[in-house]
Amino acid sequence: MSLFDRIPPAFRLSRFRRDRRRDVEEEIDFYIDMRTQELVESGMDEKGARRAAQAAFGDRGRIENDTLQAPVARGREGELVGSFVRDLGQAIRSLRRRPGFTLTILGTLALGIGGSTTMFTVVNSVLFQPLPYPAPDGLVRIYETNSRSTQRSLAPLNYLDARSGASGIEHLAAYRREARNLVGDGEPERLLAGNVSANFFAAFGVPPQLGRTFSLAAAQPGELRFVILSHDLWTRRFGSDAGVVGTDIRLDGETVSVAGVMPPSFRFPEGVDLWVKALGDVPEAGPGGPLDHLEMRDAWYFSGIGRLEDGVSLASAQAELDVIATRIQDVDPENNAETGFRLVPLHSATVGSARGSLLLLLGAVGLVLLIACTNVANLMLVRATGRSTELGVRAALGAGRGGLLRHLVVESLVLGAAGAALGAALAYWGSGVVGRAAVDSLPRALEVGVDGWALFFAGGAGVLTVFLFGFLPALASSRTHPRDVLTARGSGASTTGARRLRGGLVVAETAIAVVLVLAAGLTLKSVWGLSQVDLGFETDDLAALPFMVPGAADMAEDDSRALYLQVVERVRSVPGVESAALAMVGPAGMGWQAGLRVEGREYDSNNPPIVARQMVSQNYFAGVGIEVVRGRGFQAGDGVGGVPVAVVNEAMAELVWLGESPIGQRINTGLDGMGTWVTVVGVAGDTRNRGPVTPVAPEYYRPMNQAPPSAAVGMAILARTTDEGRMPLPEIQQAAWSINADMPFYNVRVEDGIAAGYTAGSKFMLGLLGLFALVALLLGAVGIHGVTAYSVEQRRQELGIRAALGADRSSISRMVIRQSVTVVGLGLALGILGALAASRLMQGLLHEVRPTDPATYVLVALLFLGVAVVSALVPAFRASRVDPVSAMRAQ
Amino acid sequence: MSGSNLYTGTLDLLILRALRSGPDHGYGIGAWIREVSGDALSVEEGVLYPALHRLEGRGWLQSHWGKSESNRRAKFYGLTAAGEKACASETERWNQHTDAVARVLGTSSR
Repeated sequence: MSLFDRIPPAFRLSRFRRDRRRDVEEEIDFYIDMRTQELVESGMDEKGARRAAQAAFGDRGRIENDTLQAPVARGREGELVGSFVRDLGQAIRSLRRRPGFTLTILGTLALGIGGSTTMFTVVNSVLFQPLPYPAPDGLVRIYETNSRSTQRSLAPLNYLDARSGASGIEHLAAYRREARNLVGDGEPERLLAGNVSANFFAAFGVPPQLGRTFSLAAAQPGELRFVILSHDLWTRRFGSDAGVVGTDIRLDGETVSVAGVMPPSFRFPEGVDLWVKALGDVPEAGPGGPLDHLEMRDAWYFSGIGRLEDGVSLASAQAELDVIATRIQDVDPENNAETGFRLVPLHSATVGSARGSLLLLLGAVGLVLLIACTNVANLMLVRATGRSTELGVRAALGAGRGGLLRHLVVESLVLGAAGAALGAALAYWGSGVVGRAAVDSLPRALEVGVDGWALFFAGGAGVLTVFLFGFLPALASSRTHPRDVLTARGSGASTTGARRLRGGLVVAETAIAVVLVLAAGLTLKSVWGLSQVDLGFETDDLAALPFMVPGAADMAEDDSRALYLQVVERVRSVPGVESAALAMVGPAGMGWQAGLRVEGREYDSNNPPIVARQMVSQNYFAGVGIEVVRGRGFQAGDGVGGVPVAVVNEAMAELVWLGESPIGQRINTGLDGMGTWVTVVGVAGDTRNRGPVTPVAPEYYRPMNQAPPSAAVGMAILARTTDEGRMPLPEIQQAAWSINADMPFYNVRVEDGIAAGYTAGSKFMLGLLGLFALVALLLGAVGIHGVTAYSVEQRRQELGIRAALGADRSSISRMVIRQSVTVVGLGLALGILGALAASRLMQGLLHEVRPTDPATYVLVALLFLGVAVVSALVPAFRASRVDPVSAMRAQ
Repeated sequence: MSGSNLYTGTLDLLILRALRSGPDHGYGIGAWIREVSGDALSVEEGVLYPALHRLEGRGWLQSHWGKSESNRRAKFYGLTAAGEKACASETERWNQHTDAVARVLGTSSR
């Protein structure tokens, strides 16, 4: 037997198309030919033999028919495959005949599966996929802790102690983000650089794409430093030219050499364009920050990351660090009496903050999928009952129940597969969009991409939807007994049970849609509230433009100051600029932090107040719109030779002087130089320097004329444009470049203005939730409309009778609308109950909005009732137009 | 369908017996029957085919297309396991039946 013959007949593919009649004809031809041959061999001539053979065979026509009528074997060749293919063709044809139904279901499935797969992709890529480094579970972040914070930056000497003492950590590396200017060919560009210790890349273990990573020897002052480019920077700025490795580039005033390029998957810290090897064992703080950084235990300014040794658990490494911390406490009780260390796996450190909102969004989109499923179920039920006549006739003609069922299953499978494919395509596009849009608000946003899991999810969603919501109605309808159908009245096909089920489905999907819309509404209110928060300064038309004067570190203090002031003068003269001031970072952020001493007070060595410090131009408060609530701002007399002065913010005044006037008090932080006592001359209003919600950090300001501008970090121009709106960035840049052609600006987000940065994260959440809510609302409306329209159609007779009995049109249409509103009202009530029960889930994500906010609930309720009315309008109109005569005549 | 129940039952049994020694095509089966029965049983030779298809539908025969001795495409029939059992039981039934008829015919008078 050949291989073909080994396949059970039912599954053989090649013969299924053959017409059975042709098979039989061929069989009989064979018989007659052989019989003819037999007769020829016995002596007859060809013609005579054939005639005799045919005569011996008998009445060929009748025999052929008898043969064809013989009951077909179940194991007949190609039967299963053949019938499946036939069912497939039939299903496709019958779907094409009802384009409205088919398109609605496909659209619903595509939206539901596409949306949920997109969200699943995001959640999977960010939360579940391991980080793109070798053995990522061994990577840990290290923080310092004290009684006030569990997530502090590291101090140099503490870090070095930890590095040498923790044998359980193989490479304990340090890193810090800093801004560097790339100058040379092309426009100067401000880059985000990672200033990293020599063992940084060793900790990750990711091989470079080109060249090499850093050697483990620390860089020494005076020698050529090396940098490593990120893949993005390499493609964007250096045109993916492999020859850039080994060449020199200029960062600010420094010439550095390019040692290598990292692959595109390596992006740590996020957003960094290139990595610079630190001078010495720890990242430099830079001029303007603490000096002699290597000897310090009282300035905390960089971050740590390490890799656990093979076989070492986090707990045991943590225990080692705890011992080291105790030693540090003993060695330096003045600054480090409460110092501790804390290890956190890199994965949770990176994505932990997003976990809550992502899972919430996943839940939300799951609800959308559910709504899509109920719509599909409804549509399939409607179709099934609508076809029960057809099915009943088929059943009467002898099609087995199995055959009917199979046909319906195949139809569901076709729809499910097509819907899942559409959904997967939608997810592919959607996850790209979401990933790009969320770069600023979501960790690992750039790693979002459809992978095997996402496709599996889409396929699974499609299969589940089809079988739970398509197959079950099919099952229910296949119980149709021919007798019931053929003798029933026209409306008998929609049994009470089916009608109740459909009504129940609409109630269910309305309830789910209500929950989603409520969530979106609450988030909207929260975001709006956030955007209304008084930031403490005038935000209209104000932008912060950070920039640097390269080489300022090497200039004399007076010269670099003069240069900065020159720039600001030029900018002020640009048409369209109303005012320009200078500050280290501006009102939305804060400057360097250090411990505070107040003259005449006991220095609390265990817990010095930590305050931030910024240098600002003389016109800063006026230019930015900060109110000086006590004393004065800076004036012309606050110059180099004068008394060192400072203005504190209200938070600092409250923290240090507890409401009493600080005017005249003298303060000292290491940032002004260890011996310098600065006199407080005024108190300025708070600005939200740590985000819109976090309590304001205590901060004080020093006039630029007295304090050297931070040459490493640069300064920011706070420019306010006139009401015409557009920020004349090119003109401002030209103004700056007219002084020094190498001065780059960091020009992302300038157009949004300073206030936009506050709400980016919440806007992401709102955007997605709002989208889901909108889809849910749409699907819900489609569902309500469909069910109402069908119910009107089924009740044509009844409506015709009513009309004949004298009911006027408007009362009929009102009746239809009223029924729609009732169903929706029920769903609304259920949804509100559900939302109230789940309100705790939303608590953490809302800002100053109660999850049970009544105004939102009322608005949403009105919205849904409106939707109910609008969705029912067309069917109601149709109902009122039913012609009594034709309605009663039609069966 | 032509033929009495008795006749079609007989033909079925003959077909089953014909295939006891292995699969064959329709012509071969018919030739065997004609040979073994001495051409006595063929009224219309073609009635073989409805019988073959009916037996296949009942699950006693299975078929496949193959190559005949003269290398022509032909449909071959063979006994299934059920068919073999049926052959034995139908033979038994036939024997009982003919014994009974013989007894009836063998008694004298009438």
